[in-house]
Amino acid sequence: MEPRPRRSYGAEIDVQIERIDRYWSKRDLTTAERYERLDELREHLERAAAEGRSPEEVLGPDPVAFAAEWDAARRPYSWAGAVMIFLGTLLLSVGAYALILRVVPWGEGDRVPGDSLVVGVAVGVAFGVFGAAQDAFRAYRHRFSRRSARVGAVLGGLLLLLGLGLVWTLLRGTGISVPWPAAVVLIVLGAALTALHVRWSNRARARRRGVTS
Amino acid sequence: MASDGGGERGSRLLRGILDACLLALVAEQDRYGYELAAALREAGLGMVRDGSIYPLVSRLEAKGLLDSYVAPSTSGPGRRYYRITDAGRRELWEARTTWKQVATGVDAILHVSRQGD
Repeated sequence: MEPRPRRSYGAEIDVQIERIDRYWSKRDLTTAERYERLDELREHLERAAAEGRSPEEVLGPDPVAFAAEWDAARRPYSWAGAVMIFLGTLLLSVGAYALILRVVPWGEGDRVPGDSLVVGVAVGVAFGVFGAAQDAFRAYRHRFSRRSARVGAVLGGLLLLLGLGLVWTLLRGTGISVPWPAAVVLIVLGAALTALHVRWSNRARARRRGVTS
Repeated sequence: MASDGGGERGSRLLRGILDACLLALVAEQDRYGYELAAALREAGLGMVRDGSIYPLVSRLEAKGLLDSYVAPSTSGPGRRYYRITDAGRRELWEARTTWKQVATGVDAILHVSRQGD
């Protein structure tokens, strides 16, 4: 391969590093972790520049997409976590709603109306889908334009609403009987699942930050 | 993942095996990001964009196949070195076996086709 003419990429490197830093400063990276990565990246870009390679050749045309991909790579999406948060929210919602219906004047005793179950499912799905969509968008940000991501988000939201509307229509008029001890068990189970999910997430975050081994 | 220099086909072919290449390089000796990129270039894989290495090693680290530590550098701030874990060695062994099978099969087919040219 012929040696490539060397030119100074100093200003270009500064711009790229600044854009990446701006993106990472909004993520949950610690300052130390962020600076460590930026230092490593700057050294890499400077050594590449000394060999005649531009920052674009190293990072690609969109440095923010590179930053997003690297950020997303350190926390692979956890389906187990999504299922836990969905089930936890669902059990908590149904249990709490069953208890509320016992005390409010318009309640129907032990009976939890079917359409109100949809609300619990909606909250659970919304948490699960939102988390999944957020992580997927971060990981594949470089493959979508801002506009197509917005269109995708709106279409996804509409589909979700449509699905929930359908389930609501089907469950309307039905209901399940949830005696108060069962409601308490549901709340405890839901809270335990949610707490377990939060604990796992915190431990994973601490590991990523090097707080634990 | 790759720059235009190596062509789209090279880039597509590498996509599924680049993680194994990185594991193999780190299995030889602990390396930091720039060293990994340089080693790939030296091996003739210059079509791999340097920037694609960092997310990939982070992913391998998140999966527990690599481990990392910061060591002081003589030319500036400390560098993050990557080392292979036991799980990474097992993954590498499996990747090598799979690659051998695939490469043998593809090679046999491409050679047969070439004789027919």
